[in-house]
Amino acid sequence: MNQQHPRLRELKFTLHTIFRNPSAIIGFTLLLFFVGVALLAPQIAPPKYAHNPYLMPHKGYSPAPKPPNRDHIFGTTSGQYDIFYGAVWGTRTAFKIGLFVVGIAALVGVTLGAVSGYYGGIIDEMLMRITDVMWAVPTLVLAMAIVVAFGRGLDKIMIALAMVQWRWYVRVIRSEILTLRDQDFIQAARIMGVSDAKIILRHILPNAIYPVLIMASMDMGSMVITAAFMSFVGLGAPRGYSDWGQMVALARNYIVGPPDDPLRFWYTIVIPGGCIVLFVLAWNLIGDALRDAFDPKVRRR
Amino acid sequence: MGTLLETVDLVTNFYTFEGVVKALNKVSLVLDHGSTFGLVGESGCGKSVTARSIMRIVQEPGRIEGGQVIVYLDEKNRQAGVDLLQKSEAYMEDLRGNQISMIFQEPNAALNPTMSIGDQVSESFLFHQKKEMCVKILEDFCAPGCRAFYPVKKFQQAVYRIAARDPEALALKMLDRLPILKLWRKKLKKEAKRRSIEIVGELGIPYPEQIVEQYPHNLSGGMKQRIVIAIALACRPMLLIADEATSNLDVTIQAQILELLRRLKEEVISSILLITHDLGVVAETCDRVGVMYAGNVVEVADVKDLFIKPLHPYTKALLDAVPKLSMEGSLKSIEGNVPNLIMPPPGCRFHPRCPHAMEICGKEAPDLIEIEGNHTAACHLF
Amino acid sequence: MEKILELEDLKKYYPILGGVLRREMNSVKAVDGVDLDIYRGECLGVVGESGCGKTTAGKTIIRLHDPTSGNVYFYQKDGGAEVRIDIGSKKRSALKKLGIRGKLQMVFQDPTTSLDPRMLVKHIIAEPIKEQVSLGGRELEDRVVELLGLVGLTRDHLLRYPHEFSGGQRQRIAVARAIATDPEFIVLDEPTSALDVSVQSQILNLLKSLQETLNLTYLFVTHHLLVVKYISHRTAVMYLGKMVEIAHTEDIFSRPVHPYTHALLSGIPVPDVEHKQRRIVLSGDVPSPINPPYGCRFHPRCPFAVDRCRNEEPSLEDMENGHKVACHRKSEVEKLVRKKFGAQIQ
Repeated sequence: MNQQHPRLRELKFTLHTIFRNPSAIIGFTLLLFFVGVALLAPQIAPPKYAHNPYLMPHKGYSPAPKPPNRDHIFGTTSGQYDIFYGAVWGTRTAFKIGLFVVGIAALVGVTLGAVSGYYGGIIDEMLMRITDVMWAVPTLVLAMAIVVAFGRGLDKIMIALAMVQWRWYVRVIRSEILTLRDQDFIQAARIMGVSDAKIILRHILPNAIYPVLIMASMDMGSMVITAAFMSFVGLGAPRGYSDWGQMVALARNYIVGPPDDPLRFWYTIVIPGGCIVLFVLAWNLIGDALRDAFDPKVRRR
Repeated sequence: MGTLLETVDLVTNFYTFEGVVKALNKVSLVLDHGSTFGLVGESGCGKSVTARSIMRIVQEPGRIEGGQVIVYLDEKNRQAGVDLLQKSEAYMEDLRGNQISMIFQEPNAALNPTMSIGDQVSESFLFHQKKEMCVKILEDFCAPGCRAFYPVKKFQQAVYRIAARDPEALALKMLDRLPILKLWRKKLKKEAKRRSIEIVGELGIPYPEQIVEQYPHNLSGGMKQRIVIAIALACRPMLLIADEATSNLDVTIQAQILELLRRLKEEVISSILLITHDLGVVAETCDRVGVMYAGNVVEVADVKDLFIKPLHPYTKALLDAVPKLSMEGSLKSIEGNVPNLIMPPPGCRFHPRCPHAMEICGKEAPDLIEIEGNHTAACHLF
Repeated sequence: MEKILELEDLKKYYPILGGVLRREMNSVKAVDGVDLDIYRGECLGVVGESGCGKTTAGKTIIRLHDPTSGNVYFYQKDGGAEVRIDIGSKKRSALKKLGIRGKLQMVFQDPTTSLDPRMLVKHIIAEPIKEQVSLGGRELEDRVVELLGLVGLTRDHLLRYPHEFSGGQRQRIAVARAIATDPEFIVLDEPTSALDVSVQSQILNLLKSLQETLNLTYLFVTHHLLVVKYISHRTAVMYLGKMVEIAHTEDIFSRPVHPYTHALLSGIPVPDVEHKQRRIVLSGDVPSPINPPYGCRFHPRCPFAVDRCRNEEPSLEDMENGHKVACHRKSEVEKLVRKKFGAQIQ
């Protein structure tokens, strides 16, 4: 007789299934690394400006980037901003963006999708039409509109992204719920007199949440990329802010160096770009591994 | 009656995450020409796996690991037995649908929803009987009553002469590349369709010409299962394996299908291997019965002997647990649960649940021995 | 015999929407006018093939679906008195307030999908109890263990997930959940069809004993006639949304009247080699409930149909001993069957 608590056993089994996959191990390791860097940022790269640690320190205003040397481990980018500092504190920024956007989008999306899917009928129709309207809004145009109205800033971008990203979650949850709604155990709960809200919270969501989890983990990465793009274009973080996209924006003029030495300023692009790539890769690998673990057909082999 | 198919000590294992599932534990069966063999057992006993092992379509992660499956295609010549497990996949492809056919439980899953019925039945003809059809078309063309445009006729004759000898000839493949001349295949398709209509009609389906144009979703469950049978019987196989073919159907439709199978057995097919969990179906349609439990064959007998005088304790318990028409008292149930085949009980796999279990049952697995005249059982009681 | 439920011309239609404006074009007439009395303490078997509406009828009675028209009356025992309550038209929340919700329960066909795969057995069974009364943690657990004991499971099974059990055990859990609220009436929708033969008998015996100890009334819906014979006191035969015959089970099997009942009975594969019978094989397939045939619904497949059957729909009439049949030729059917199909079926 197995004495362990069943939830513990299930957890163990789930973890085992996830980590069967070598890419999952890589993904999690990368993620742990990033989490570590983000948490220990004040220790790794002590902030120069106590009131705003996100401002990258810079000595001087010379536009030409300097290669890695003893003072600046990763070199400096245009405007003499320290790349190392930016990379470390940029990790915190990336997590901030990801968690905020995905958190809000998932919350709004799941709520709307759950109500829409469970009740059906006219509520479903109305909510779906509203969502359709949101689908028509291009993310970039919305971001630009908000920036024009309220000024530049990373927080404005995060709000813009959160405002449109929920539309994906509505669809995903709604389709899961449509499948689950007619399952016997839901009908059994209704016969017992369980209220609709409790059915959704207690029965439907725990069973329907997996695609949302997978989508959320993938979105963490893609939101960071979108925010980086916005910063690159000039809409997001202000100049000098520790944001990977911002740093790539600073390097805009130095992507290709002088004709005889085109790769001279590689560090200005490769380091922040590499951070973005690795961050997104970590989340994508995790998302893949989660999907493999939770897909019922693959799960219990 | 000569033997048609024989499995000897068939062993099939499934390599899963939780362990190795020993699904078939030396299964030995004998099927005769012209008889219906019923394979009974509960879920997990291995009857479907046996059928799939015979056809060599066991799904991943299963593997056939031992034993032989010997087929005597020539009824007269017993020496010409062929071990299917040793043959190549190409040989099996030729065999399936042609000499041995299989039908499954769910007709919805067996039919392609995007192809018309006619196309699906023709598929069987086009794959297996190309040569015969070409020969027939050739005859039609050479017959004096043939009315066709002279050059076209000559051309078609030439083409089909080549095809009759070898449907896969290189010359024909080259012809396929040329846009207009590709049409020589049209005659082949027409012939296949004609044969489809014929076989659909033979199965007692009314208005076969119209049915052939329809799609699966236009048909009811019973009709679909009949079409599945038509596809299976298109090439007149010697053996039809029916894996729970009537379990999903309503009682009245099941009656129709069983009646159909009975009629077909007299006219068309030679033998049927009927896999089911329903003892009633077995009593009505089968000549010989094999009972399986947890990957073993525990009893094989003529159907009368099995029901009147079951020998193995499991068979007896099964017969007692089934509600019958003329029944008094309560149903007896079998204690315990079906064993986990990853770690099956040692010795006889039924011994934990057997009311007559003895000490030896836990140590040594009993062999299938003949108890009296064609009635075999695997039990230490004998 | 006391009545517990009464159905009056119960209808359940599912609209088929079509066209640009999604108007109702037609409807699936799943249950099309059923009158039925169910008595306390009995097991009423409902048989029929797929599409006949038996499952829908069962679900409509306990208000899982809302009836399209017609009435469902529940005779609630209030102390000594009996109150007839119309439960067909009430809102579901009203049913709960009246305390009726817990009295009507259901056991579903497939135990794999009828239990929440993410919940422990303890919570699955505790859920209906929590909806009715608020018990403390210890008391709740004791009650759950008591229920598990009634269905043949033990305390060890409390902290497990459904997928760790076999099919038969899962169905036992489902039964424990159904009896958790002290119900009076349970609809059993093919409770043994998804189970192995040896387990079926265990569950059937369990259901029988529970009926006696807890004084339950069952509506046993199935297509398996031999199971109905074993467990039910009365049997009703449904065809295409209507009841065509209803009688005591022994009468149905020994003296069937309706031609459809004859066909069903003769179609049963009998696990008995001595019993070679002539079969009544019906022609055609089960028609769709969207456009039921005019007149008697069975007439296109009936071997004895006459003109009256094509034009006039027969009503359910009493023959004797509570044996009701809906057939115009009910007095002649026995002779006709004998003439056409040889010796008597039984």
